[in-house]
Amino acid sequence: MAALEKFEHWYHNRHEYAREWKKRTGGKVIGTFCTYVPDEILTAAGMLHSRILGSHEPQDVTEPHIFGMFCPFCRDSLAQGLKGRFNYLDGIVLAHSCIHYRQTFDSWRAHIPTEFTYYLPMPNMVQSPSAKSYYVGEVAKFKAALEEYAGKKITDADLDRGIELTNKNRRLLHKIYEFRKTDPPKLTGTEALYIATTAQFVDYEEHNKALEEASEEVADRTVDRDPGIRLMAVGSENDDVEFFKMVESVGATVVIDEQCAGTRYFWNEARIQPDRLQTISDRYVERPPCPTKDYPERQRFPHVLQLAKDYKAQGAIIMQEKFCDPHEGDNPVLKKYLEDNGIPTLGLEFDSTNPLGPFRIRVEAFLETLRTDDLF
Amino acid sequence: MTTTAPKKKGRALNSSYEAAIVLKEYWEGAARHRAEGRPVAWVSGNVPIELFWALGIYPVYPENYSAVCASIQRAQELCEEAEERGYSIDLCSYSRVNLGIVLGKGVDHPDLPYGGLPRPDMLVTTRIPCLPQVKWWEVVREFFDIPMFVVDATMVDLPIRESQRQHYLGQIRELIPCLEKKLGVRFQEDTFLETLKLSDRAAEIWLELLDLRTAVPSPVGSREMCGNVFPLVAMLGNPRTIEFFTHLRDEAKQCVQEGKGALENERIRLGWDNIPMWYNLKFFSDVEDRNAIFTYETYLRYVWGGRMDLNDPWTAFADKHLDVWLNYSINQRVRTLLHDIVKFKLDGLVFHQNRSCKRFSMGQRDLAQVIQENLGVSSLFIESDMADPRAYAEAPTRVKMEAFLEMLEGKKS
Repeated sequence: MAALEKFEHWYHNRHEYAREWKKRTGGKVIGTFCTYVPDEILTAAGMLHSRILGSHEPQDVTEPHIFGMFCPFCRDSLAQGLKGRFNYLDGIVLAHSCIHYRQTFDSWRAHIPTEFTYYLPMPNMVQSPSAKSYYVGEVAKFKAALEEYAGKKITDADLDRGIELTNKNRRLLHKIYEFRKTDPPKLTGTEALYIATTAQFVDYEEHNKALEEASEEVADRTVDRDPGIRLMAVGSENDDVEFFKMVESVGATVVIDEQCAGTRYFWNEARIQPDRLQTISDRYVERPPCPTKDYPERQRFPHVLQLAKDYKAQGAIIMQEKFCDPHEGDNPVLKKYLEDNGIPTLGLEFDSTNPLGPFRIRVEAFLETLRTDDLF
Repeated sequence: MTTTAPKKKGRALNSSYEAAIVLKEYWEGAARHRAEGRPVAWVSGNVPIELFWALGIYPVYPENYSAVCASIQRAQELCEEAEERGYSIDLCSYSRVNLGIVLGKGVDHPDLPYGGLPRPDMLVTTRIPCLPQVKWWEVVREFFDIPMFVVDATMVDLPIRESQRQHYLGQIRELIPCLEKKLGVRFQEDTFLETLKLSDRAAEIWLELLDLRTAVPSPVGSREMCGNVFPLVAMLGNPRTIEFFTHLRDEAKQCVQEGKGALENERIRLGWDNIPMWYNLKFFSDVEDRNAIFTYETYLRYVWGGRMDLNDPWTAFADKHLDVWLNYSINQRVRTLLHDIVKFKLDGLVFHQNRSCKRFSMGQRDLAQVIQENLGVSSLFIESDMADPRAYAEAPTRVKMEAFLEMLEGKKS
């Protein structure tokens, strides 16, 4: 299998991968809710970080627990648990972010038998001077809880290994994303989505190895498709591959993203400091923020714009997960901000399953307006 | 419009008529403060309110103002103003009403209740009630170009962790000099501690009042009590709150001593979870025609006005703000409700699935299930909204409520 194909294979066979990993290593698999869970600690403990994602299939099992007015991604995630698709998990961890995720986590631990459950009170107000000193204490408690659960100390050498593997993964993801900057881009948005999303549930050593091989493959690649318009994808938790495929089939390439299933997960490395836990916890306080943690100053908007500029995006699709209020609050202002800075936008409202036909018409119309700009 | 204006009925407690006077005084006081050039802050639910009264900063509550707009059937038009500017109909209706005002005709438009909202010098909010509040404040901050402070808190499973407490207090220690610097006020601990005493005294009386509603028959129902709660939200630390609550408590106490209930023939006792439908408080009193009374509300008991042990005032101050319903996990909500349903002798619970408040609505399905399994107490779900009447469907809701009451009556007999 070519290296690039591995990511697609992992994406579609994530459960088989986790079961096989568990059998092969004898290690624990811990389901993670939200990209704010410090995967370094899980890796240091010899556990597999396994991001709980939805399936983009219709489901009818969550209504007894979550109202339909909660975000479809969180409902889809709980549905996967209720259907037993994550029955190999030994534990689950939530890092505090939004109320939708909290509901999913609470319902999961109430209704799906799980050995280890942990709520990590990640601060919201990451711009507060006290955020770092508070969070390092919480990360220390999380580490202690994992040690107690596993019956084994996490040593400094373990932490070093966790930090190095995750940082290396971030560096390699950056490196392969560089191929999206070229004209034409050597990597499609669909391929990038497979690559970035799988980092959230594949063993870092394996993922890093595949990234190194894939980078070599992509470097030698000759692009034989017309890339069309260069687009950016902005949103929350949008790993709907079929949507990306559709966009890239109508005369566009998604060259960069700003979302949890992409850059927001890996964009910054942990800065190495003498205190290992501070190294880890600061990384999450300093990372490009989710809208749930972006105040009082808006730090996310300039970051989004800079990504658009660096990757020469000609337009942006703002993917609004329905009922995701953190993004609903930002999007009218973000739309204006991008447009005032020369990046036209198209807003689409996403559910777990999306109407690709109507979306196709809207994307095509958007691309048409961008091409018109070129004409005149 | 899918509902009608509330029909006025007589109050069970005469003191409840004072609520409208207190509310009017509050908003007039805000306008006067502004006119005199003294500092005004826009704040949100669960901010450390006592600090503002102690510092001489008038705390203005746009959330309450949105509720007022809803109660006079003005919310829908204001929500639509915000929606026309790109704000989703799925966002909190308090925020849409306010953004409709701020981004629409402006806060001092003469058409608005109480002559409009006084312009803010600063914005203070907290993550305790929710996130949309913060996103809303960001838009307001940019509109007025004024400073904003967010007091953070993560959710709690009681008992509160020491680290969470210290994190909260750390931010209060950031907030105080920030208010001093931005608004030219001076913090004096003695004044603050006196304010805490006033706050705690008001909370004590309020909780005594709520406890009187465990009596059978209950002296007062939810419609009145939702109208009475405002000073507990916005005026803790203000002596007027103590005065008003004392009147309510004393009158309710007398009713209980005399065995006099709000209903002549109370048969069904109900509890309510979530923020009320402010445009339709009549919903609470309509059930009284069937000898049912709402005598318990999570909104009135666990969101505002917790008690403080003033022997350790800073710890108590932090705990009071962290220990609120909106900050509880589902497990904590379950423990609390199981206790209170027995204490208040409730026959049934009505859960308001509030489209605007996901934080409050979190876990309601699981709560209902546990209550049914553990206590055999049935629940009804109503899908609606606290301020936007478009989310309320009168006819099906009435039919559901009628059927629920019939079922409870059947169980009783």
